[in-house]
Amino acid sequence: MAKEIRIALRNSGLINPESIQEYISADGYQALRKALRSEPIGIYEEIYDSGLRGRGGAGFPTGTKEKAAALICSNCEKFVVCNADEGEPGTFKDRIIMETDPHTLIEGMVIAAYSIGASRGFIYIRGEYELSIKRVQLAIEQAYQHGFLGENILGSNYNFDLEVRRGAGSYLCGEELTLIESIEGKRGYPRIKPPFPAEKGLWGAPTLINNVETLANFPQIILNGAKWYRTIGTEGSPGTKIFTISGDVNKPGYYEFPMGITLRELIFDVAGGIRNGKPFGAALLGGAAGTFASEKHLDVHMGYDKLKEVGLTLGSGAVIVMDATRDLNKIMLSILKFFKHESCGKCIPCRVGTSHLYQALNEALQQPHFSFESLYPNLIKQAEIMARTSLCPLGQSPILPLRSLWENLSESLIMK
Amino acid sequence: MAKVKIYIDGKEILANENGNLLYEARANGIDIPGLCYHHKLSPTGACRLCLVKVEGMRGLVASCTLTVKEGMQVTAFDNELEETRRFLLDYLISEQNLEYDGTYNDELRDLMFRYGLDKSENRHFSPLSPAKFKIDSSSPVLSYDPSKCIKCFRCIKACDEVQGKNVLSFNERGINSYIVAGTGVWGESECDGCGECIQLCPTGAIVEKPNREKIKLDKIEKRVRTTCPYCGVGCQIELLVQDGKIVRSNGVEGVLPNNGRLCVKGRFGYEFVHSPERLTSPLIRKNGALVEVSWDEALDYIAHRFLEIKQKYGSDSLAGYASAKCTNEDNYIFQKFIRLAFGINNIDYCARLCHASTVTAMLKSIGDGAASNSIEDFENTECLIATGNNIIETHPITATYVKRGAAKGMKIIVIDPKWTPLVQYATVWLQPRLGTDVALLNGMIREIIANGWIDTGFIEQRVEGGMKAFLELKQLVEKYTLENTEKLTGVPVEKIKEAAEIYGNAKTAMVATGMGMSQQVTGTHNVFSLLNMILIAGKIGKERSGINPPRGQNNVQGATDVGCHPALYPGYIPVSNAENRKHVAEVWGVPLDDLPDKPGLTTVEIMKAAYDGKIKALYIMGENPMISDPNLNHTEEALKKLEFLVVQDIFHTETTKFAHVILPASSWAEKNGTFVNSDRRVLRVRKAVESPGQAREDWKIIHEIAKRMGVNFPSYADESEIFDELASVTPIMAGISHKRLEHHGIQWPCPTPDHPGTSTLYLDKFNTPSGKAKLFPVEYVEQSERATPEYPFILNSGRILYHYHTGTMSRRNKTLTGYTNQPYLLMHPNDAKKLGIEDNELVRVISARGHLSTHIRISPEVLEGELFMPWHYTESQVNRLTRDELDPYSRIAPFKLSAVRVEKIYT
Repeated sequence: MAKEIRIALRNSGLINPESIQEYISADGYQALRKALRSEPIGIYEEIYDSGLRGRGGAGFPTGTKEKAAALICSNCEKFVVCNADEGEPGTFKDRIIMETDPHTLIEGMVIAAYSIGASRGFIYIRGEYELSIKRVQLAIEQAYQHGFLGENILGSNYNFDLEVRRGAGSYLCGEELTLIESIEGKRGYPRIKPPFPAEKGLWGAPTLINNVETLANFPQIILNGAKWYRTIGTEGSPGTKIFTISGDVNKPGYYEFPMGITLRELIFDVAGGIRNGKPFGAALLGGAAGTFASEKHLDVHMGYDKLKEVGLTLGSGAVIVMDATRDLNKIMLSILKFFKHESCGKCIPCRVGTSHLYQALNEALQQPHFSFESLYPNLIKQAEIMARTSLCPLGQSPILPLRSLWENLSESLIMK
Repeated sequence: MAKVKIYIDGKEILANENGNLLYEARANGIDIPGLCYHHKLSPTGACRLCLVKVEGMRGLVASCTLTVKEGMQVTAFDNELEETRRFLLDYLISEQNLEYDGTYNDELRDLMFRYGLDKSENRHFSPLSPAKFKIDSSSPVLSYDPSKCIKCFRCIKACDEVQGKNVLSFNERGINSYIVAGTGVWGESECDGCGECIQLCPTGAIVEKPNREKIKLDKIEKRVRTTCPYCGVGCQIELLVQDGKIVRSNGVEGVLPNNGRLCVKGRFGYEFVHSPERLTSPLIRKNGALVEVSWDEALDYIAHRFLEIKQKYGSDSLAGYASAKCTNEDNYIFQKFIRLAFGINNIDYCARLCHASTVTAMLKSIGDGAASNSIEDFENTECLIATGNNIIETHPITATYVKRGAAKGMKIIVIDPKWTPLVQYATVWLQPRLGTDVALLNGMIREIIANGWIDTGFIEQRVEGGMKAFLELKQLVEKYTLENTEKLTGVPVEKIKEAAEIYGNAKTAMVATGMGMSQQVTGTHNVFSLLNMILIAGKIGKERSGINPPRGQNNVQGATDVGCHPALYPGYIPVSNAENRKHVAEVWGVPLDDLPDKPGLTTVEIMKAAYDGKIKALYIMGENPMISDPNLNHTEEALKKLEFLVVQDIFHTETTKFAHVILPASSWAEKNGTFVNSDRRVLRVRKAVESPGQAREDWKIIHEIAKRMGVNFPSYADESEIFDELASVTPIMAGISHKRLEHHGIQWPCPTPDHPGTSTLYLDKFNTPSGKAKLFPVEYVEQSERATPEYPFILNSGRILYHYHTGTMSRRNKTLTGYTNQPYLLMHPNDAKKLGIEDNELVRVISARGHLSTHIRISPEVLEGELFMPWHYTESQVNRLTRDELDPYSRIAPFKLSAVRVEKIYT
């Protein structure tokens, strides 16, 4: 059985998250101390070399973003933003980090900020995450008291201020430019991209925006080096990943494993197999904006590139498991309902398309008999045009579950 | 602008570098579809119809979000793109209510036909079950139908980016989203009815209410471009005429001064033109009653009476009021008439009561009594001082430039005893007690000098007397220390410091000075003090720096420009200038002796002379002194004493009650000619509709009277010939003709036909004899009128957004009166408490001159001890209370400062 390796979750459950002393005793803020002794270039080069990729779902190389934000200008105002608006269904990894080890996130953020030359940062936390908000806020206060935040951090002449912003219940605000609009006090609508946040982000200033889990990897990479990090995981996807497994399994929960673990290991070893001894049906990887894996994918290695090769996505690391008795049409319908509900309405393809997709499937499911062969290809055609024409990732997403469901599991759809 | 080569579908196009790709493509005849883009707005990228392919870019990209770059290779039309667009339109149509009533331009409908989606067999999507949308028709001017809304953001951006009002937003989200004003009900929001959102709405979602049942776009007979008849911004409007009547007014896009923007009056204030109350026949008072007569009878009678009085009492007994509402051509003919037919320079008009002091000070100090800079400078300057100028309400479109500047970081200093909406955009608001402006400005000057924020180079090179003159000013302001200034004005030291620091350190700065400064007995000194500050800081004589006095009426600038002034011939040439009189006599074809060379009487002086029995006959064209003059009880007596009063107007007014003859004139929409706006821009006025009944153009009436008095004017074929004559005696307009004004206005001075006009004055020299500006150090003098135990309050007066001057025009528009139509008196809550007066209670306001009754509006917008009233309302005539004591230099009256008491009325 594969062995759990904890990097982002290394203190989770081991220390009192409300005690900075316990964090410090567990080598806390040592990475920051080390970082502040080196030049910023050393930091982002280290992250770049580590091969760390964005853990929010897109998997973009973190070092590339960081480098761009660092080099775009010097002596100019910059920001670091942490995307903690965890809204992808089935995903709860960021919550666990914030609830059980908030200082790891803060330490990661100060390191990231120092490396690009930002003096101010924001953690944008999903509004429903009451405990996360409470613990992160407390940790920020403690960090200020201990000189890890504020002016002249650890005697380095480097200043950095950090504050929490609460989300207000919009899935779309997890999209980076929409999140930035929201921090600016505006309604959560996506911006035109480009410019990317590293060029023009918060209040028009260069902004580095990273997911909680991504930032939580920073301290250990800085402490132990890129080389060490690359010994874990796979070549294309170094390091570990937190998987949040839910659905029809015996042991749902969060687990941090090196990249490359197979889906079979995750479901049958780690999560204790399918509940009630039923046969495996399907797994939705990465949440609503994710893809359906079928039995034939059980031995695929979980990493960005390997999954892409078979048309799947790693996404946020959510694994929603369905036993073979589940009606996948109904699950698809609930996904489409979710997109319809969360579409902001700014662009036509997403606003109208999410409604049409839901309406078409819903009407079909009310019929005693309907033709899957004509329904799904039609839905997929619409979703493809949506993907090509939508303004932001939301409208580009419905194609993922739709196409993967039809391609991988059409037989079980028709049988129902 | 630099050009770059780009290629669209293989066609080479010369585009503006860094231009918007969609804009440039369309400008070159490549009609890429799109609904959310508008050239005045930032790109939104919402409708996705303008998607194109660009070499080197992944996938499809919205052309409205791209910037043109040299060598760009674009595919705008191919099968895939067109099919994608048809698909998206098909989508859009499936959520839309497609009803169309023919009263608005529908860009979605046009695209529907273009893509064949008008035929249901070409559509692939069944209508989405519509949300339960409700039409919001609570606004007096517009209604919003969410079922026709395509959620393009154009209205929101029209309100935010164009007008700076930020009233609109979306409610709900996704397919259920719809526009709300304020917190949800349009009529209860801060929307002021400018209608920019209507103009930019691409569908029938936001439509205007007036003429809703009547208008049919396919029945529009003509669209006439002309100039707005309200304030002095000079907005270019397009009037739509159907069945001989104006049914709509739109802003003209792409031309200055307004670039399509309008305010509520410009868009909805045309209704008065077709009012059944218009004067349609000449009227002579016979045995006390007004009787309809023929034009011949009226004109003969007038000529006969004027000649009779001239013979009996001499030329000194005659006078005329010209009109800031009439065209340059009308006013030019009027002043020519007064000078030749009456043989005297007794010609003046309401400019005397508005910016006379400003003009006097500016003429002496810098050489021209007009705006030094262009309207765009209000957006592009770093700093603005708005002093005594409620610019958002009185000059709403100039204010849009200010608000757009504020959004980009312009610092705004408001100096006003009363809160104005601009305070919401201001960095600092100085609230001096009424009548203490000189003290405040001297205090600011002292602070600027003390901190070394002066421009020594400018003072040495461009100010008469250089540093020596400066030192005199420095010495005079020495005693206006911050503490003293606070004591005199009530403005806290910190705020004076902050304002001086902002202005003193700004690289560029504009000043807008209004009636609050000018309408005082110290009006000229107020403006001198302001100019002193501007000059020592070197903030004039360059782009984006200067002083603009926004003019109150559509042609208040032009009427003086063309000689409606007792001391100046056209072009600001003194009546005493023999050389000029000789030239004018030649052009007019009269002996030199026929041109009077002594300055005549000013407005209030004419009224006083009438009261004293010295003026016997008065010819009033388009003015209503019985509301607009100070000390109306005195004015009323004066008018009653006249032996002969002719009033030429479009309506019965408070003044026509005293007239012996009333002549029906054409309104602005019924005539051709020109106006001059606040930034010296000469703009065309064009006839849109016929005059009602027998009403005639003003200049034609004057022409006839002149003829019957034996003064022969040339027979002008049309207004352009009058303008040509006018230009030949007005050097600042010598290069302008109607022909040159066909497409856009020209800013004077424009001395020759190939001169482009002048956007900024004094770039090289000032227009004074020495070519340098002059400092006029002035002391603060306490007001003669002050609060006493008998009259414990100081009353201020002014305008509001929805009404205009004496209300003759604005109060005959249901859309405008739908917003507000009631006089009121603003009083500070503490004063109301002391007097035991409740909000909306009826009170009597009494001054030493007269009294009125009105309703109280309790508000901290005014200081304790001070009051404010709008002066538009005949039922509560503020000028019954004001004084006719005059500023000795400019003869302006102090409308802004009257001691009064307020009494409860027990009913």
